[in-house]
Amino acid sequence: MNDHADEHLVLACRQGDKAAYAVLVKKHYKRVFALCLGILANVHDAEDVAQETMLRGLQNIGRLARADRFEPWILRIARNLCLDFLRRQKRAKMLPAEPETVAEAGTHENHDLERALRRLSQELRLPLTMYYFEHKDAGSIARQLHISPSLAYERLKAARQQLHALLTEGGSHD
Amino acid sequence: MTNDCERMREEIAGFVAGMGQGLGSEELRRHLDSCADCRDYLRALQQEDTSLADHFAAIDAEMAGRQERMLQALKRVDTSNQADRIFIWRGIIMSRLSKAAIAAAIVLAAALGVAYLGGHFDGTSVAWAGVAQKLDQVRDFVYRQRQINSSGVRTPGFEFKQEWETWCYYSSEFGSRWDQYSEGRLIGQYYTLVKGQQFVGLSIVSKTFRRQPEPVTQTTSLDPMCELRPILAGPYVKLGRTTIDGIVVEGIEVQGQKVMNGPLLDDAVSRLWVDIRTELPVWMESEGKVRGSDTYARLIRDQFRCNIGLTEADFTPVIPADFKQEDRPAENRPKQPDTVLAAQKPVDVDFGPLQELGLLSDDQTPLQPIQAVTGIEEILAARDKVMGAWPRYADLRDSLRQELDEKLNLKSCPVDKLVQLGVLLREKYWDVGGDFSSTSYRYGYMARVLLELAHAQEPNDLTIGDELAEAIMSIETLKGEDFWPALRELRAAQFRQACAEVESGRQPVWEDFARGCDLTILFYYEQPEEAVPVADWLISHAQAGGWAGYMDLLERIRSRLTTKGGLWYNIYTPPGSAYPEEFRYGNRLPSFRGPAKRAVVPSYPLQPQPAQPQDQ
Repeated sequence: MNDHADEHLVLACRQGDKAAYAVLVKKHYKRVFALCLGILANVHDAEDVAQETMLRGLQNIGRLARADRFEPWILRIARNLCLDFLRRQKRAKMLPAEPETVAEAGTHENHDLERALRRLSQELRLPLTMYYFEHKDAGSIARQLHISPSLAYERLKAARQQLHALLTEGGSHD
Repeated sequence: MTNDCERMREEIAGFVAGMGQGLGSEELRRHLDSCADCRDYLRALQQEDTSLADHFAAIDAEMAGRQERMLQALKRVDTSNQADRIFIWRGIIMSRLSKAAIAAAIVLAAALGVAYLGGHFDGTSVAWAGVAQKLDQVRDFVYRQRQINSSGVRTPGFEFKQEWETWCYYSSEFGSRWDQYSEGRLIGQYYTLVKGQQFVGLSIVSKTFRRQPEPVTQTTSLDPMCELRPILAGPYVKLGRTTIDGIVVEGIEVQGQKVMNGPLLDDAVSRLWVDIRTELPVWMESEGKVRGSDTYARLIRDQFRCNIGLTEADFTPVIPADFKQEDRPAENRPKQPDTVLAAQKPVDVDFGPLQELGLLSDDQTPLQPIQAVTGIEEILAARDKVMGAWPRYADLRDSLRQELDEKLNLKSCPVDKLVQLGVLLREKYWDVGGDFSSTSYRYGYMARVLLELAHAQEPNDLTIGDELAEAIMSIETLKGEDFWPALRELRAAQFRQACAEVESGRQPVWEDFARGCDLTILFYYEQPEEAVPVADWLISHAQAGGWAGYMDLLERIRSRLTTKGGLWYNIYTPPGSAYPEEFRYGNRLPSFRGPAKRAVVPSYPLQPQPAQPQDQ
């Protein structure tokens, strides 16, 4: 869907209007963060990459071919950066197979749930995050992920089933 | 659980996921009435639903703070003016292009396609002799240059591909400017300016800049049109007519020349395609084998725009206030790969002593062929698969030690002999295939046995400790189970010893830096608080030890230790210009040296080149 408000802001950015980009950030940051969180499963990494995404968007806004398509463009940058981040982690092989060590410093109390979320596949975690964090329905999730609504629903369902299995395995679930 | 239960649980999960038919389904209601297990399942999922909502609500509650930090970061970028300048400038360039040209450029970038119309001339042809004169009329231009490195035909498991992108701006009046991108991100800007006859380079990543005199002859030599003239001077082969991105072009090809700024290429083939209407370049490419490497490089220039009215403002470096001037000699930093390549020659190792002692085995299996490996991730995965099938060191250590004892009489073997044989066995490990051999581990493990014995006898000898660390790293990547504790303990002991020695007056040396970098990483994930004093020590001794060139990286690591931001930027990361064959040695620590036969640039960090002696 085209966004004419974004179009004006993007054009203003290109003319050097710094405040315009701040408006774009305020508008889209949460969605970018949600995407990063869904892919990376780590609040701190998600914030890092979301920030990097927005800064990179600023640097490259002159390359945005259609000013009314800022959101899909910035989300694509975020996705690429997330995948790059995961590649770098994998390359460095400094993390154990399940990245247990980096998220512990957050404010989150339910460690079993966090651990289970990290163990979900990215394909299932992302729609789940969009559903619970962004309060999106399957239709909206489908549109953003470029999949059919029924597939989005199937993934949500599978995510809940797998999450339950992960939480109950080894008796960790209360 | 019955089949009914399985089906009903699908429906329950769907209901909890918010999209199912819900408990309105008569069938489900009936089932729940009769099945206690499924009622429990529904209750559990509903509890989890609440937990998930709470969990994400807690994250959401911190969004305001995150957004504020984001805006603060944005403000810091804004005050630098750097980003503004970049995109404002790009806006100008973009606005000068027609819509059709933009669309065409996008298609071209995506497809890299060249569609042949059918071979030979069929009408208007380019007057090649006149193209050089056309070029003389070009006052300014912009184009994109990409360098694509790939492995070509390689030993299975060692294929790769890498790509860099640079946007080049040139004005005969003002000079040249190169904006360099890596993975879509601006990483550097380099100006060679007629005014003041100077070079100015900005590293966006390290927030540093360099300014130095540059003779005007250097400036003009950067005119890429100069590079076209050798092609036009012939002999060349006409390639006929084709379309590139919708533009009808004609091309010529020359062989055996290096015609584009980039790596030295052997057996180079270069092609130039010009617009038949304007006779100006549309596409240039050069490809060949990078001299001194197995890498194949392809350089492409496209998206040429000529005479677009660039102004002095486009060639005026904007140096953000927080950028530091590089005041340290460049020698502190790793040399460019070809420089290092020339300096580092492979060393052939004489395995005679191992033969004499009966330590060599004929039982070597050929290297396992590894299929469909095209990049670093695949190389590492294939390597991990081979190494994952090896027996564990802990399980073989005692039997290998017994075998070595029978051949060497370990109790009476002097330390220097243990070290010599340990190093030789380690080299033999690499000689028979290293990480990609199913049987090489035997040599690697024996090396570790001998070097552990030598280290036990001389625990304060830092050099022996380094050889042991190298042996451990050779046969264990960072993924290895045995790797972390053994290395951490060894490097921590060495660090304590180095601290004490430096405290007592010993000059810090490069090896202290390499060991300290190892230790920082070894501590990072499990005991990051232990890594802080190590990073502090490295920072405080950087000047005295000669590793001040890495200060920005050290400070970044130090900062990340407290913010837990992940070692995204770290000293372990190999330089972007490293030859991709280095990937086979990936997942080791900064101090890793690899086999003596290794003839390509070593991993970060390199030891700085020794200073040239001063004239007497």
